[in-house]
Amino acid sequence: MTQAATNAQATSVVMAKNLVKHYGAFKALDDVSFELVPGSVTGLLGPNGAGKSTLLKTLLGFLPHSAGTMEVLGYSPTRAPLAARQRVGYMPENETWFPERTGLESVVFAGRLSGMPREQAFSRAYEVLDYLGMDEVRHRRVSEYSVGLKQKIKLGQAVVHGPRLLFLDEPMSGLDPRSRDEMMELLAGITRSGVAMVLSSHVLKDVETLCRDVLMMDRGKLLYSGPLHTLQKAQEGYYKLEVRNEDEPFMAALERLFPGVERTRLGYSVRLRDVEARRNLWLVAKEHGVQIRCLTPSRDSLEEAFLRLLGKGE
Amino acid sequence: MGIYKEGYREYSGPLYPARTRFLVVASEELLRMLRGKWTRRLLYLASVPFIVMVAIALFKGVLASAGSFNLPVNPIIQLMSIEATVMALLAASAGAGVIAEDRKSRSLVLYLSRPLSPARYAWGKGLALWGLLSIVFWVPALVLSWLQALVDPSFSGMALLKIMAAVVLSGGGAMAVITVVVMALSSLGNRSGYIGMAWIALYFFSDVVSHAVRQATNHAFYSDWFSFQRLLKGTMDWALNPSLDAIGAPLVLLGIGFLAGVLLVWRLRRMMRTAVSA
Repeated sequence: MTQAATNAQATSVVMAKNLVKHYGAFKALDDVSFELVPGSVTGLLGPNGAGKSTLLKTLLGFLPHSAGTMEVLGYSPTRAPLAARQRVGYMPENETWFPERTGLESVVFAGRLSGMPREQAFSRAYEVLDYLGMDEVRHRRVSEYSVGLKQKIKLGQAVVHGPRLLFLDEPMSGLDPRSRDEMMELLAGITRSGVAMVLSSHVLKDVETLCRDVLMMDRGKLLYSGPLHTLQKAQEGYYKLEVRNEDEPFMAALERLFPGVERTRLGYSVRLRDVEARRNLWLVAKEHGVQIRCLTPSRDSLEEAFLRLLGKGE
Repeated sequence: MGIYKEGYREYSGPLYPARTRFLVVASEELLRMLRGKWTRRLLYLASVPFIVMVAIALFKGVLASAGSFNLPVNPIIQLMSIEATVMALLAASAGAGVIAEDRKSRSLVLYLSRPLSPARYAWGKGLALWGLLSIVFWVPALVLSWLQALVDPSFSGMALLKIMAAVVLSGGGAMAVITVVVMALSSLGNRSGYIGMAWIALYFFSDVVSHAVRQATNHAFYSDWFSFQRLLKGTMDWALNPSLDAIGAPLVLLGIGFLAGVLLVWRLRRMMRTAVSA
């Protein structure tokens, strides 16, 4: 089967199977396997040194992998990096721009580097800059732009050639709250149009808002790959408990009845295995004259899930 | 309607073949170089010896009869020797930033994340610099030799072809080597000013080193190989009068180009590895 035929039949935008990358004796990617489907919006999470950079570099074809297989839009990034990158957009984290160019020229140049003839590159650049809400400012030099505008130009360069897959590296980095909301809206608009997206970020809130799936890495290993809601549901049996008028005896009773109960910022996190356990909680509260204000099934915030998974990884 | 407001529209227009995309890099880089104030001044400066030599070629008979000028024995070599100095300055002014400016603005990742290989990126940058240096170094020599053939009836067609081939071979080849050396230097840092000064130091001080070696070794044949200027001249001499005895200079120049090429490839690979940080 030809590479083009494989690409036409590709049901996943990214496929990695038992991916390994060695830097000498150090394993930067350790048996990483996952699959991203078209239109998916995936957060790539992990602490520093988790292997996110290495994963992005291998997916972009910058680094050869040591073992395993991977495909980006049906192409092997190592054997056909240019074909893969033809339909991939990448927005880097660092402040970066083509020297001595205006915003418009930068987006046009990015399009031309992707093979677009000058007229088509100009026409697409105008459309993209309209979408990004960059009117007259597009004729100013990028080096004079604010951080927010520079981020927008980077996004414009990443999408000008019509990619089917976008790799975004900290797209909200350095933005004030208003620009952040604006960028989130722009990204959400792009994802609604069916472009698959991989968002690498340290800001879990952004990932929680934008992404439907998560790849969580630590020390080269993939700790979790799947839907965000599944990860957040993982605390089944745990409840968030908020009470009023609690006292020491109540707390002691709580600890005796429900081992592992934890104090949180707003109240307690308590594990209630069954209906019987929930009834016991109400009885204890009544006995100590404590008012239960809130008892809801506990869902991890992404931050909690992240920390829990990292804890398992250790 | 905004591009994403009516749903994703994949670009389905024409695309240049990947193998010719280095021309986009080359044309943009050439424009960037020509925007430099010093680059433009040096280009004007380079035109002066060319105009003088053309005038000498055209009015050779008049000047010889006046007897007040020592006419150059080989005006092409003479012109290329003078232009070599301007070329070295131009390489510092325009070439030092060829990769350094991309490193400074961290735009390398923008190039490399496109369907453009590092080799084609380097080809594009190199072609722009080579083209610019060629404008002052060997293209005027070609024009001069053609003019000489026009005004001098003793100049045969075969002689003209031989000179032109020698100029293209030595000039084009020497410029390719200089281009690779300057690009390799440019890949080492992100301050084009310092890189330019390093190149000028290397170019002019190598002549001092060569002189010292000549003194120390009592005019050994290899003393010229330490000087860029002498290597260029030696290569031109060899191209005009090829002989085994004079082949040292072009070979050493090629060797320098090869080593600089290895350094450049190593630097590009390293830059590619460090291009993305997540």
